[in-house]
Amino acid sequence: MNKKTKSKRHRVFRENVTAYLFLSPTLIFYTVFTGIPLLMTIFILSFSDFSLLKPIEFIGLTNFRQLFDDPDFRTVMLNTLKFVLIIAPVHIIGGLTLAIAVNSIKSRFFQGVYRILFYFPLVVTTSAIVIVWGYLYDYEFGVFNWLCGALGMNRINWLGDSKWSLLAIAIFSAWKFIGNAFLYYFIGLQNIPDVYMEAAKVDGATKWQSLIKIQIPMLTPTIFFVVVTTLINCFQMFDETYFLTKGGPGVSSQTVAMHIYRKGFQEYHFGYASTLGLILFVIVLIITIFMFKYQNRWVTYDTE
Amino acid sequence: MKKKIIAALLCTAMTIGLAACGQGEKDSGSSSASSKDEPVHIKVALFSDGADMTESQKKVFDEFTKENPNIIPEFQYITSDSYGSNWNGYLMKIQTMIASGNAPDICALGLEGVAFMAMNDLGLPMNDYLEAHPEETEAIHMDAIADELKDIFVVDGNTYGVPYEANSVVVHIRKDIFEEANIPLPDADWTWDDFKDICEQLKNSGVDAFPFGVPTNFFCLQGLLYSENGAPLNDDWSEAAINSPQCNKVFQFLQDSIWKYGYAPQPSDTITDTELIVQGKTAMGFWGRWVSDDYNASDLDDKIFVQTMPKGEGGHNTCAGSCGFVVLNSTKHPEEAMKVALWTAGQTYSEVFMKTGSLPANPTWGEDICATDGIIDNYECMYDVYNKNEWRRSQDPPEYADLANIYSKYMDIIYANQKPVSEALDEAADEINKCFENSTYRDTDEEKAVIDSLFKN
Repeated sequence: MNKKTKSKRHRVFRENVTAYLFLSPTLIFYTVFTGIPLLMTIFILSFSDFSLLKPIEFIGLTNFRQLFDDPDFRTVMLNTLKFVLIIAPVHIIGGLTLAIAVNSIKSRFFQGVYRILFYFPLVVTTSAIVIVWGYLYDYEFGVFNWLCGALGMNRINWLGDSKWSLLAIAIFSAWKFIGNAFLYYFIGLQNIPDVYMEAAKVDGATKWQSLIKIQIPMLTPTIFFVVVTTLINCFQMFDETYFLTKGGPGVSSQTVAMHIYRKGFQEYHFGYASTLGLILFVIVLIITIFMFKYQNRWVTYDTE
Repeated sequence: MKKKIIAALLCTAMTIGLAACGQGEKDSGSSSASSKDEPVHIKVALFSDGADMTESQKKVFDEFTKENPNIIPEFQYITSDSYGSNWNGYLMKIQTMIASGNAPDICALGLEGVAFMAMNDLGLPMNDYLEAHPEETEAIHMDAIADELKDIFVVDGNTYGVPYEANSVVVHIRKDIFEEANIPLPDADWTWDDFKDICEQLKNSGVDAFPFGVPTNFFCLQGLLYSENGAPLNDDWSEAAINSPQCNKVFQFLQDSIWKYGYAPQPSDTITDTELIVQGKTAMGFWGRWVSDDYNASDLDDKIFVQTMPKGEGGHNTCAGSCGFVVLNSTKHPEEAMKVALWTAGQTYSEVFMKTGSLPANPTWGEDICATDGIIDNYECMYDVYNKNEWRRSQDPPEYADLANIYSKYMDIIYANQKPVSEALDEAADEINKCFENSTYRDTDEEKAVIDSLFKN
C-alpha cells in the first residue's frame, strides 16, 4: 500500500468518525427511546406478563392466544382498516388536488394565503381544537345540528352513534391533517423546473396534458413519500378518536393504537399491549416493504 | 479537522450532561434526610382535577410543620383524565413513579384502589403505629368516623389508611329550575315513581332544561343500582350480577330517559354531566359532594339542593365510600409518613382541603364545614346515608381497572342506544366473568382469601 492510499484511507476514517460523533446525540436518543423499546416489545414484552409492579414473567404465546379471546380486537382492527380506507385517500388525493389548485394560482400573495389556510390546522394542538369540534358536533347543543335544524333536516348524532362517528372523525382528520400532504405536494410542484412546463406550452400541450404527462410523473417521488407516511399515520391513528369519541360509543370508533393505550396504560396489561403493538408493527412493516418493493413500477426519480 | 472533532465531542458531552442533569435532580429531590437534625421531607401524592391548590397547600403545610417541625410534607398533585375511572390514571402514574424509583411516601387513595394496592404489596400496614400512638388517633377523633368507612381500608386484617373523606351519592337538584317550573323540592321519603313524575312535570313545564343527566361515573351509577337492589357483582365479588333483572330495570330506565321519554340528554365528552347542571341544562344529577368545587367555581351559591336517593326495591340505599392516605412500602421514613397520613384525617386538613369538594369522613367537623360553605342545601342528607346505614360501598376487587373499562364501554353502548339493554348487560357480564377467569389475583387460595377479607356491605 503506498503512502498516498494510506493517507486517503486515514482521511476517510477520520471523516467517518467525525460524522458518527455528530450523529451520536440523535443515535443515543434513538437507541434509548426507540430502538431498545422496540426490540424489548418484539422479543420480550410480547411474550411476557408485565404490569410495572411485578417482575417480567415469560408466558410464551399466551398473549397471542388472548387476541382471539379479546372481544374488542376484531372491532378495533376493522375500525383501523376503515379509517385507513376512508382517510388515506382523502389525504393523498385531496392534498394533491389542493396543491395543484393552489400551484395554478398566479398570485404569490394568494398562494401564501391558501398555504397558511390549509396548513394552519396542523399547527393547532389536537387536544385543544377538539374541544371546538366537540361543540360543533354535539348532538343536543352543537352548531352542525343547529344548522341541520335551521335547514329543516333531522339532527345527526355525529359522535354518539356508531353509524356516524367514523365519518365525523374522518371529516375532522381531513380538516386537521390534509395540510401536511398538501404542503409536501405543493413544494414538490414548486420544485419542477419551469423549463419543462414552458417547453410543453410551446409544443401546444394543454394544461391537463401538462399535468398528466409532466407534473404528476415528476411528482411521483413525493406522492410515494406521502402515501407511505399517510398509511403509517392512519394505522397509528390515536389523537382524533381519543379526543373526539374516546373510541365510543362502546368501542365502535376505537383504533388499534387506542386499544394498545387502554390495555397498557389503563388496565396495566403491558405484555398484552406489547403484543398488540407488535401486530400493528408487523402490518405496517409488510405494507411499507410491499410499497418499497413495487415503487419502481410507478415512481420516477430520473428527472433529467 | 481537529475543530470538527472537538465540536462533535462537545455535542456528545452536552447530551450526556443533559441526561445526567435529570438523574441529579432526582437524587437531590429525594426524601432521604442527610442527618438526624435535618427535617424529614415526606412526599404526599394527591389526586387533583387540575385546580390550583397552591394556597391550600401552603396553609396545610404551615399548620402541619407548626405542630411537627421535623417533618416537611411536600405535595405532589397528580392529575388524571382516564377513561374508565379517574383513579385508574392516578394509580397508573403512582405505579410509574414507584417503578422509576421516585415514589411518593404517602398517597391519597380512593376505595377503588385499596384491594389493588394491598394485593400488589404497595402499602404499609398501619396497625402497629395506630396501637403505639393512641394520642394521635384521639387527636383526630377517629372514633367518630363510621366503622364501615374505616373497614374499607382494612385488608386481610391490616389497616392501610384512615379515611379523611367519604362521599355518598345523592340527587343534586337545581332549586332555581324547580322554582321556575313551580315544582316543590322532594322529601326524603320520595320514590322512583316520584322521581319520574317530577321528570314529566319538568319536561312539560316549558323550562329550558332536561329533567336530569344520566350518571357517567360508575361509582354514581351504582347508587341507582343499589336503590333498586341491584349490583354489578355478586355478594362475594366472584361473578358478574350486572345482568340481573334489577340492573336491567335501572339501565332500561336510563336508556329510555334519553331515547324514549326525553328526560335526559345523551352524555357527551364535550359537556360533562357536571357541566350540564352547572350550566342549567339539566335540573338534577347524581353525585357526591365533590362537585361542590364546580358549583363554587361557577358561583352557584344557594342554588343546589340535595336529597337522598329515591326509594326503590332496595330502599334508599346508595353508593358511598371513603378515601384515605396510604403509606407506600417503598418509603424510607415509615414513622414520619404514618404521622402525616394519620394527620390528614384530622380537622385542620379537612378544613383547609375540603372547604368545598369532597365530604369530610369525620362528621365532628364535617357538618360545620358543609354548613359554612353554604353552597349545598340539605347537605345533612349526605351524612344521613351513613347514620341510617343506607349505603353500600362500590364493589372494587383488585381487577377494578379492567372492570372500570368494561363498565364504561357498556354504559356508553346503552346510553348511545347501540344495543338493547339486556343484550349489552349480558355481554358485559360475560366480559366481567372472563376478566375474573384470567385474573392473576385469584390464582391461589391465599389470594382468594385476601379478596374474601375485603370489606363488603
